[in-house]
Amino acid sequence: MNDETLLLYHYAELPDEEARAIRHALADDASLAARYRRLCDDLDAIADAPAPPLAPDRLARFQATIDRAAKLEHGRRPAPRSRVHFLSFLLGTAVTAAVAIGIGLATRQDVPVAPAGVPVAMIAEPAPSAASPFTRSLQVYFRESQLGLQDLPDTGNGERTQMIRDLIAQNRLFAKLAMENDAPQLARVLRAFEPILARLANEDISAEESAALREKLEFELNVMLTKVTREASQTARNTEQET
Amino acid sequence: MKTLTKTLLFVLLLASPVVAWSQDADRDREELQMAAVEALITAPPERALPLATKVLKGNYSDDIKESALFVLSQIDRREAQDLILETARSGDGDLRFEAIRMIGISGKGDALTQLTSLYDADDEDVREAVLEAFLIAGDKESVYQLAVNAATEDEFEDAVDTLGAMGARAQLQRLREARGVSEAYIDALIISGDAETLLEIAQDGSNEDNQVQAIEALGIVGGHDEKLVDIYRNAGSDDIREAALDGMLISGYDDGVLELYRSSTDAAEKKELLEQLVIMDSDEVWSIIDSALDGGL
Repeated sequence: MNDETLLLYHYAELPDEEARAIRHALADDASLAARYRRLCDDLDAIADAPAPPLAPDRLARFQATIDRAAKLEHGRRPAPRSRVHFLSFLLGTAVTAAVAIGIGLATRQDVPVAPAGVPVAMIAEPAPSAASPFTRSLQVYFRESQLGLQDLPDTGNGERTQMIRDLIAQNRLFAKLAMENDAPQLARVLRAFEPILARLANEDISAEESAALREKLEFELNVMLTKVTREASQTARNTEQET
Repeated sequence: MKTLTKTLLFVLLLASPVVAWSQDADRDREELQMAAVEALITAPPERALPLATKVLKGNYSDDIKESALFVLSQIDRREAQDLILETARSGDGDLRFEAIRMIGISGKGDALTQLTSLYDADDEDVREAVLEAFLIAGDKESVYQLAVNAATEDEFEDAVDTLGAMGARAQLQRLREARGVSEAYIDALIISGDAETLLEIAQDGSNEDNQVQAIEALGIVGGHDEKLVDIYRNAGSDDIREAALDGMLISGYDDGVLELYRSSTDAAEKKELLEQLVIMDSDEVWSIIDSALDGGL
């Protein structure tokens, strides 16, 4: 009786009659019973052992696949995180979400916080009530992104990478919302932030390069915050004059 | 000699605060200039334009000039676009790449058309800058044209990756007809998350290499896990079968491996599938072993 038959017996894959015959043989033949026990011990060892090492060619294929997965991760929207938790539920419901963010932000007491380097006049200027929920949420997004960049550790570690992924996720969300809100120019600016964030996410980045990229992004966020705030003020003034 | 050393030390001591003061002054001046450029966004275009032009053409640091370019990208005037374009054509190093990025941000049709003329297939940095600008502008068609006309594998790879990042599925579909399937193409499908096209390639037996890559890619993208089981069952070669198994491993589809394990009557295959379940750390693996040792399943 060969091992293969014993294995099939072990996995209960043999027809009843054959299985019964083997059961009898095992009871009658001590050497066969010993061989069967060794086989069972081997199977136990498979279960108890850590995952078997992979053959080099299979390992290489996995590595290539992981590289592809990393590319996918880069291209695909990362799962939203909870740093700005009110943004999390927005995925997939973009238009409704724009309103929801606005409502969520309007009720938040801890926003906005003045980040260092943001002109005081700009922070002091309250969001005009006539601004759309999207505009108000955008203003908060720009401010919180600046804060996020300032909190970013200088050199690469897991926490830093995760913080940048969060920023990228929020940035993509707002780029999508900008398109939904008929603001393609704004969407382009937001899309332009992502390659810089991706460069920042590189764990091998030098502290000097990281600082330069953060300064650049903070500048651009500041300019956009000023622009959006001014446009909202202008809209509010025009609405007031019309009424 | 001693006198000379002392003199040098004294001069150095004297100079240190001067150097420090000078560096502080430079930093203060740069910060002030940066604030001034930032403030340009609040100025009317007719005031902002000449000032931004002065910065771009003047003796300022690249950082200040790059900031001026960003402000210019937000000014909806032809002159602003011309200035950006001019810098993209004749600027040096990083300033030139920044101007190319700004063309993408401004998204103006005629400026985007000029981007194609700036594209230099042989210069990797310029190539990537132009592709990034098209990505920012959302101009899928221009990237498609660069991909379909790419002369080298590197050039094609950069363009097709960009199409993937843009989620340009229609353009990728056309590209398949024009240039066929390749590893770079499959990578772009992964990036764009196009599981349907990957499934088509995974089921197309005309090129086994592409088929293997697409099957594994299906595991990454997800959405067709149950098809991997069918592919495994209908595999015409060990490579395809192994790729399907890898796909299930990558997607964590242990239900599929379990199904194969239960339906297999081949001892060697069962052993391999059991190993796979152990690698996948399947919750079911222990009960299978337990049950198998008890003679049942």
